[in-house]
Amino acid sequence: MGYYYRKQIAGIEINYNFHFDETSGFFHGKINKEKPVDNAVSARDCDFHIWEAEWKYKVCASTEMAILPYRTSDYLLNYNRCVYHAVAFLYKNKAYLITAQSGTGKSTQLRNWMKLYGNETKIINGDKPVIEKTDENTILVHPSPWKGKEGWGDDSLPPTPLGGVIFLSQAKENKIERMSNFQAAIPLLSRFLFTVESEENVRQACAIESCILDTVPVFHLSNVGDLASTLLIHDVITEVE
Amino acid sequence: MHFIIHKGIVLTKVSDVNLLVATREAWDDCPQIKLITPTQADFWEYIEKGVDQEEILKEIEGSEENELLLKLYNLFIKKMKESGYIIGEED
Repeated sequence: MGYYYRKQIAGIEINYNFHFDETSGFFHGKINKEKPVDNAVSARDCDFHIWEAEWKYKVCASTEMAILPYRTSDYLLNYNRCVYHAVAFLYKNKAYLITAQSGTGKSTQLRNWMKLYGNETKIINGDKPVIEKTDENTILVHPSPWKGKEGWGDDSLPPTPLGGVIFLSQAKENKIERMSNFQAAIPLLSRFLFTVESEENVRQACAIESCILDTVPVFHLSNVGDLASTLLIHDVITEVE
Repeated sequence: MHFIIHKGIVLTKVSDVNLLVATREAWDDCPQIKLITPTQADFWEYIEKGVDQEEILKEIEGSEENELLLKLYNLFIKKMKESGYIIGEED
């Protein structure tokens, strides 16, 4: 039962089984209807129950679309990829992730960045890009269908090497600091969007995180959300370059 | 006597940092992620393997800094019990 579709995400062909045919509409037509297949990625009944009980989400297509990144990651982790909660932009041939809890100002920072450096920047994804650990131990950032409420993202962009990660927190003053592995370990892992149902998936996500910590700088920006705070991000990432 | 640990706890490492990660089935009872030191990770490995506590204490006694290690071990066990990672013990 259900509605079967096939979609390529981060270079991997994924078979989906949707509860609602309308869910395919969130992929903006870039998805193909398929015959039923076994082991298709799908939101489970227990997922709908959790989302309804915990966050009052109705059982509908938009909730299914919100659940799917987690189930998609469970599948993608087998290919060293995972959906990640962050905004991702491309600047001077490198991808940068700005991440924080929802409502902390990721979109504000991206808006600021586009005001300051929009001519040289492309938005890869505005909410949930896919990150990949390559066999050469580098991290690539891919576009994804989960672009957030602003709908920011460009699916035509190729995978881009990660240049750095910036964690945001709100504060009364702007300050940016490089995080140690010890400081970054938990916040970084918390932004991996997967169901955390299996030990194998935990180890796969941790392998990707290790690669991030070993290869790119991670910063913490305490900020008031103004353009000056965004300049701080620019200063540190260009300094590292 | 050995300790019984909660099902669904994964000892893992990100770069040089040791973590205990709870899979979803343990979320109601344990913190989802906990940072631990390399020494604590060694203790956890023993416990996870079901090594008898007497054996662990013998190992500690035989080490150079046995007093400090014993303190750290006892504190670790206490914390692991309090946070739900260790749920009991059996002979």
